[in-house]
Amino acid sequence: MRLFEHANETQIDLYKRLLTEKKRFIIPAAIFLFCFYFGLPVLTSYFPEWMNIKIWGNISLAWILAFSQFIMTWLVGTLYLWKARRFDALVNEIRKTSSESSLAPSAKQEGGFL
Amino acid sequence: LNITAFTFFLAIIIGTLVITYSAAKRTTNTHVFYTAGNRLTGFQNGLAISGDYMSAASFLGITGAIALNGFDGFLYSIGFLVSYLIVLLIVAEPMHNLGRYTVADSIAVRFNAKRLRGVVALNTVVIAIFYMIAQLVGAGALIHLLLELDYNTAILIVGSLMTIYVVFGGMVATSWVQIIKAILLLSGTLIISLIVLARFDWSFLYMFEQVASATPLGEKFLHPGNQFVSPLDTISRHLALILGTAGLPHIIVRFYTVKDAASTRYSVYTAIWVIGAFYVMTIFLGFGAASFVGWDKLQIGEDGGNLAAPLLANALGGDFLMAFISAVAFATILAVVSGLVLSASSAFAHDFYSHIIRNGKASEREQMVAAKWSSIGVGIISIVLALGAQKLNVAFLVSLAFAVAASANLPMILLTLFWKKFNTSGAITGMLTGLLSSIILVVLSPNIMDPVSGWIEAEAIFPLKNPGIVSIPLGFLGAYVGTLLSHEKENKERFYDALFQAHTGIPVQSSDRP
Repeated sequence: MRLFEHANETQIDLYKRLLTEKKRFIIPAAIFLFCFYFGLPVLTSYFPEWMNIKIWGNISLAWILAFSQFIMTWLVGTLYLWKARRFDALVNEIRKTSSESSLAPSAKQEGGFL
Repeated sequence: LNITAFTFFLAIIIGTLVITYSAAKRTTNTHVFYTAGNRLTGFQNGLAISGDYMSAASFLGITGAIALNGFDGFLYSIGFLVSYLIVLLIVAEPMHNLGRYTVADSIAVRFNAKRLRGVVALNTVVIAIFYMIAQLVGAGALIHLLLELDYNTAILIVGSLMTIYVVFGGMVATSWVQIIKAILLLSGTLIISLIVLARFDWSFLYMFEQVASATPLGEKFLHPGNQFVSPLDTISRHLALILGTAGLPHIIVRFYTVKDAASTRYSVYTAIWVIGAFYVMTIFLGFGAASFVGWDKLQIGEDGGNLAAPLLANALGGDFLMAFISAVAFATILAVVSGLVLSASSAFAHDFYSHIIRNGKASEREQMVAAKWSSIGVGIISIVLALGAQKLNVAFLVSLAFAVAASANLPMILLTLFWKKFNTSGAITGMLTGLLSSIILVVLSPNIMDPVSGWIEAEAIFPLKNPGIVSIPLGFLGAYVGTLLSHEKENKERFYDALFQAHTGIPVQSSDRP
């Protein structure tokens, strides 16, 4: 990686850790939310009878699952916000350990992009 | 003429013009024009994103859909919310870290070919225009009914206002119009929700009990299947919804208005709560309309339930509340269309003019002039198209905009961010495949081809109303095949540099990012 010809050991370590940790959260979270989300239209389209089972008063399973999509969105969002503090901390470490100059030379090889 | 309604509408017009006036004084350069100088806080931007996103189609359309179709109407709204998780987790922060003014700027950190910028800008304009026509035509019909103004006059008023906000106040004015609209919309829906709930003795359960006997659908009102009968079409629609938001240019440009990745994240997080709270409240609005307006009365008018919310307000609180809710709907329309004007005109002025025609050599003053003239141009084109589309059923254009965003923009954005082998040719073929397949499939679908009421009076060739399930995979496939077939040399360094910048916000190349 050309970028790291100018970066120091700590930076490379931190950056790799950032990417790993991000992946470890984002990929499972994305797969989960996709399955959870599509569960609802798939169930209501193909298994409507089950979805009409009343759970609480007149509120059926379909409605409970629909409400759970909101809860899921807010929970996953909050969890990510909480996780991301760690990502920010890693990025700040990278910034601190790199004076801008250690990263800039690779830019000069390529020239600006605008 | 309804005097109360007129007063509320006037208050909104004057209020937004005052905002524009004060924004105009701050809008002295292109950086402020396009990004409000990165000075919005995460919370403010979150409100603005919500204001940009919760369209009249959501407010009026979903309320009406719930009132008429019960569960299915509500199901439709969920995708609009959950899609923000994709935005939050995958797209928002990298796009902020890479970008400057437009989607094409973010992509240019990795691929800076002019022809790619051209295609990205083209998609931005296409999406904005589809979305805008649907909004404006709806606005014309709404104002016509509420203020008894002629359709054409209504379009001219909304069209001129949106153009004025953007031309003079740029992103600052647009953002504040959107923030205020979000607050108005939330308060309006909250007031109505509380009144509706009070009418049901403050019992959620009792409301569900009552509504089951309020409509001719009876118990079935609460069951899935009243609106969406074809499972495949339902899945296709949801696919476009959940993947589309992350590719909508007028939402993405909002990520450039804050100062860092953390604020971007907090904007989207705020939006998730605001938009979620709003969609939860649409249940009260929809159930309220079904119970208190009367199902028969809702069917009246060609818009099929689009007036459910104002009619409910009238049933609950008389003229005054109805005037207030109508004014909220008016503010909603203004906020959404001005966001669209801004994103389309930045594609014209920043991408086409400054980068493609002038090679990035246009002076600051020339760029500013271009930005203003292209806003005026976009405004005029939109008005003309909306005037011509009055008699047409254009509701499907919103889902078409989502389909284009999901099929053309999202694959390109995701692969640019994460696929090492991706290249310029792949990005271009992917985007064009996604764009053309969405449009062609919609033209061949029952939206346009219908033996009785279609623009083309014939049996539909493509059976689904929503092209997503076919066009999204095609968009990815086009990008993949285009990449493999091209003879471009792989530029791994460029990928690693962009990846680094996307995830840290530290520019590796010497960009002129202020």
